[in-house]
Amino acid sequence: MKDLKLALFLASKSITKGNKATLALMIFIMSLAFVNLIFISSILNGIVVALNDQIKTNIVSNIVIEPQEEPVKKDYIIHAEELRREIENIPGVAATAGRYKLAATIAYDKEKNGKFIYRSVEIIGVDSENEKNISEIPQKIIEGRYLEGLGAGDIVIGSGLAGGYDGAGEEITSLKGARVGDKLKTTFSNGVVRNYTIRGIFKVNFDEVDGRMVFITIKEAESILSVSGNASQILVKIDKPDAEDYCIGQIQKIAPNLKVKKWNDYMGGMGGIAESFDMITLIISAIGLAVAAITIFILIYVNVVNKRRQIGILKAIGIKQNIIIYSYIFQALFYAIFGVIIGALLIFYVIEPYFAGHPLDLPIGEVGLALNSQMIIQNILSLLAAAFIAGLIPSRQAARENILKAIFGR
Amino acid sequence: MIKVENLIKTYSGKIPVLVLKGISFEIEAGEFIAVMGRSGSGKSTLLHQLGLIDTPTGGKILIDNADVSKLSESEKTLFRLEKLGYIFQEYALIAELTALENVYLPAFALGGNQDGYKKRAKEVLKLVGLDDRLNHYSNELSGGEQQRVAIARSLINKPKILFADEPTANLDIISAKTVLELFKKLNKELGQTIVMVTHEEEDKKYVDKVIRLKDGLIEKEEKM
Repeated sequence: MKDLKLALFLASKSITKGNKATLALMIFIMSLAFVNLIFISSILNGIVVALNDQIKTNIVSNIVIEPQEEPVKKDYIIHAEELRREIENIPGVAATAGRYKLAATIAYDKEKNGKFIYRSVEIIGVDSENEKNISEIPQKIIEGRYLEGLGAGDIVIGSGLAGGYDGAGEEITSLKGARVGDKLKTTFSNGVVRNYTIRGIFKVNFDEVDGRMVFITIKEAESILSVSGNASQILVKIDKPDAEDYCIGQIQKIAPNLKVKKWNDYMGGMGGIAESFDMITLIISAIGLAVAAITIFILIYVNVVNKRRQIGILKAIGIKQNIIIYSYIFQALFYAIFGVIIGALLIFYVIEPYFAGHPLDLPIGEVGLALNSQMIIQNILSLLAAAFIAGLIPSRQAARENILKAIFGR
Repeated sequence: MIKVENLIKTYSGKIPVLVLKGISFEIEAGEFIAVMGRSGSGKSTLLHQLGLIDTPTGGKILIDNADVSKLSESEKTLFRLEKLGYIFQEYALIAELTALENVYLPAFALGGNQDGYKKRAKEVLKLVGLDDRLNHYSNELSGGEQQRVAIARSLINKPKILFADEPTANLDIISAKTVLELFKKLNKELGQTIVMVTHEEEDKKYVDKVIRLKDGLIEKEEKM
C-alpha cells in the first residue's frame, strides 16, 4: 500500500508538473485510439444491424413457415388462413401474412419498338392488408401506389428493378427506366403469360429488395397457380426478438410437418454476413488495439528514455524498482483513462449524433453507429490492458537498468 | 564502521578495464573522509561500490560488520534507503518535485507518518539553510541551493554514512564553501560519518583523513 501510494505520488507529480504538450499529445492519441476502436466496431455493427433490420422488416419478418418436405414434399401450405389464425393466437406473435412465390421472366419494351429487356424475377403474391402488418414496403412507395384495391392486371415493383433511381448495379439488373403506367409482359415458370401495368414503385434502400422483389395480388397469384386458400410461405412477425425461439416451438406444435425457420436461418448466406462482419470487426478491433498498444508503448518508452537519469537517481536514493514501474503504469493508465473519457465524449456527443443525422447511404440502407454497452466496455478494458502492458514493459526495462548506466549513460 | 577488504572493480567490455586493483582500508564512525586522487585514479568508482550503487568484481565491503557486497539488489535498495545517503556531483534532484518533496521522498519510501516526515524534511532544509525555499522547484534554485537540497535529501532518513561524489565540482567558490562547511557542521555537531570524493586539495582542511588513490590502489592515507 505504501509502495502504491508513493508510485501514485510520483506519477501524479510527473503528470501535473511534466511537459504539458506531451501530456496533451498522449491523451489526444489515446482518445483517437479509443475513437478508432469504437468507431470501427460500431459502424460494422451498424451495417449488421441495418442488414438484419432490412431482412426482418422487408423480406422475411422474424419467422418463415414453408410447406412440408417429409414424408411427402408439398408445394404449398394448405389451409393457410386457418393456420395463420391459430399462429396469431400464440403469445408474442404480432402478425402473420401468407405469400405465394412465383418464378417468372418479365419483359419490358421501353421504347415500344419491339426491343425487350428481359429480367428473371421472383414474383410474390400478397394480401395487401396482411402485408402492411409484417413489412414496411407498403409504406415505401415512391411512385404510384401499393396493391391495396388493385386488381388482376396490376403489379408493384422495386426501384432497383425499375431503374433510374440510383440503385447499385442498375445497369445489369434493372429495366432501365420502367415507370408507373408502363406495361410488363410476364411469363411464369408454369407457362402462364400475363400482361401487367406497373401501379407502384417502392424503394427501401436495400438492393436485395428494391432490385428483386415484385408484388401482385394474392388472387392473381392463385389464378396463375390454379390454387386457392394456400400459401408458398407464411411470415410471422413477433413482438420481441427474444421470443423467436419460443414462437417457433409453439408453431411446430401446431404444424409439426411444416418447415419453420428463424429469419437468419432462412436467409442462409445473407444471414451469415452478420457472422462474417463479427469476424471482420474482431480482426479490425484487434489490429486497432495492437496499433493503440504500440503507440502507447512508444510514447511511454520515449518518456522513460527521457527520464532514464531520473529513474537512476530514484534507485540510487533507495526507491524500489517496483515503485518506479508502478508509477509509469499509473501514468499510462492515466493517459488511457483520460483518453477514454475524451474519446467517449467525442463518440457520444459528436460522432454518434452526426451519424444519426447523416447516416451512411449504403446498398443495404442507411447505416449509423450501432453502439452497445458490451462493445464499449470491452474496448475500454482492452485499451486499459494495452496501456498497462505498454507502461509495464519500458518502465520495467528502465528500472532494471544499472544505476550508473541510467544516470551517467555508461 | 566501514571495512573494505581487497576491493576489485573491473569494467567489462571489449577491453576490460581494471579500475580498483585490490583496495583495503577502514573508516571509523564519525569520521569525515576525503577520497582524493587524479582523474581516473578510481575515486568515484570506489564511492559507487561503497554507496552500493555498483557491484564490485571482487573483495568485501563490511558496514557495521555486515558484508553488504553479498546483498541482493532489493536488499541493497533497502540498505541504501535506510542507512546510506548519497550526493552526486550533479545535483540530481527530481525536476517535478519541490525542494520539500525532493527531501521527504526517501522518508515517504521508508514509510511512517506523513506529518512526521514532512516536519523532518523542513528541519533538514532549515539545517542546510533553505527553509525559505521549501516550495521551489529545482529550476528555481541556484546550483548551490540545489546541492544543499540534495544534501538535505540524503539526511532525511538519518543515514549512518553520507557519501558525496565531488559535491562541489559544479559550484562557485562561495557555494562550494557553504556546502563544505555544512558537511563539517554535520560531522562535528551530529557526528555524521561522511565519505567525500574530491580533487580539490583545499578541501583537505575540512576532513579528518584523506585516502589518496593512484591507478586503482591506495597511494597513502593522511590524517589531518
